[in-house]
Amino acid sequence: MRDLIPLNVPTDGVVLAVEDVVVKNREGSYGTGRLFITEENVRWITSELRGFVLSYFEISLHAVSKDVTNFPEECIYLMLDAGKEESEEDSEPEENGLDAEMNGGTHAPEKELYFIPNDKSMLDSIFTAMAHCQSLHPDPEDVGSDDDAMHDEEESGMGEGGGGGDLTYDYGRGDERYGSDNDEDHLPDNAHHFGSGDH
Amino acid sequence: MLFYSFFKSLVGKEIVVELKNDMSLHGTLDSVDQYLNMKLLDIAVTDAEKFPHMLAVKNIFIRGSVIRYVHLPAEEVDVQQLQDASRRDAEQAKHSTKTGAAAAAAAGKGQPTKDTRPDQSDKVAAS
Repeated sequence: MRDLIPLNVPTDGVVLAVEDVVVKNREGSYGTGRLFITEENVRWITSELRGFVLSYFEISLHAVSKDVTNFPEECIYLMLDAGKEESEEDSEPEENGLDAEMNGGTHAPEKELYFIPNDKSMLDSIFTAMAHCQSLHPDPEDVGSDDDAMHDEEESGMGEGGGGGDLTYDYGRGDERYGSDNDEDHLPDNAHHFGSGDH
Repeated sequence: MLFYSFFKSLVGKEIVVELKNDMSLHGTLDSVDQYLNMKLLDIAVTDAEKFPHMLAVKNIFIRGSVIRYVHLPAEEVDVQQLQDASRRDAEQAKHSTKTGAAAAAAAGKGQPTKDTRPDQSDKVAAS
C-alpha cells in the first residue's frame, strides 16, 4: 500500500471531480474519498485531506470494469507502471525476492488500482476524462520525434539488412491511403505522381 | 504522423497490442491519437495470469508509450505500400530538415517543419 500524504483539493484544471470513491488494490482498501481528474494528474483525497497523486505517465492503461464475476464491484481499473514515478526505489536490488512483495511496503509499488465510485453512472465519465487527460501528457521522446526518428534511421543505414536495395520507389500506386491527410498540401512535387502509373 | 494516419486506417479492425510488460491484448481498435494512445473495444487478454482483473474488462485505453508492438491484420495491410509511404515520409523529413530555416534543425535536434494540423487543412478546403 502506498502512504497517504497531506493533500489539498485541486482548484486548477479540474476536468472531473467525483464524490464517494473507494480506492482499492489487491491487498486492501484505502477507504473513501474524492477523486479528481485534473489536466495535471489524478488525485484522490479523503475527508481528512490525505491521499495520493498519480501522474498520467505512470498509468499504463485504464478501463471500465463491469464484469462482476471477476471483481465484485463495477469499477475503473488502472494498470500502473510503478517504475515511472519511483525510479529510485525501483532500482533497489530486491534481495528478498518475493518477500519484498509480501511486505507490501512502499518498496513494492502496487501495479493495479481500482476506483469504485458509489455512483456507477460516473464510470464512463471517469474513463473518458482520464483518456482525454492522457493525451495531454505524451512521453517527452514521443513529441515531435517522428521525423527525427525516421531521419536517424535513414542516416544510420538501418535498412541495410536486406530491406533497402530490393524495394522500388513506386509512388504511383495510390499510396495516399497511408499518407498524412494533407500530403498534397506539402508535396506538390509528388502530387502529379498519383495515378500517373497507369493511364 | 505517418503511423498515426496508418493506424487510423485500421480503426474498426482487430489488432493485437503487446505491452512492454509482456501482456498481449486482442481487441478492436476504436480510436488512436497522434501519440498512438489507443482505445480498444471488446478485448481479450492472451495471458491474464499476472493481471487476472483484465478478464473483467471490455474496453480499455492504453497509453501509447507502454505499447511495444502492434500485430497487424495481414489482410488489411499493403506492406509494400506502407514501406513506400515510410520511405517517402523519411525523404520528406530529410528534405524539410535541409531546407528548413533553422540551422539547428540540420543538426537533427531541432524541430523540423511539422505537418500542418488537420484543422488548418479543413480551413483550406472550406475557403
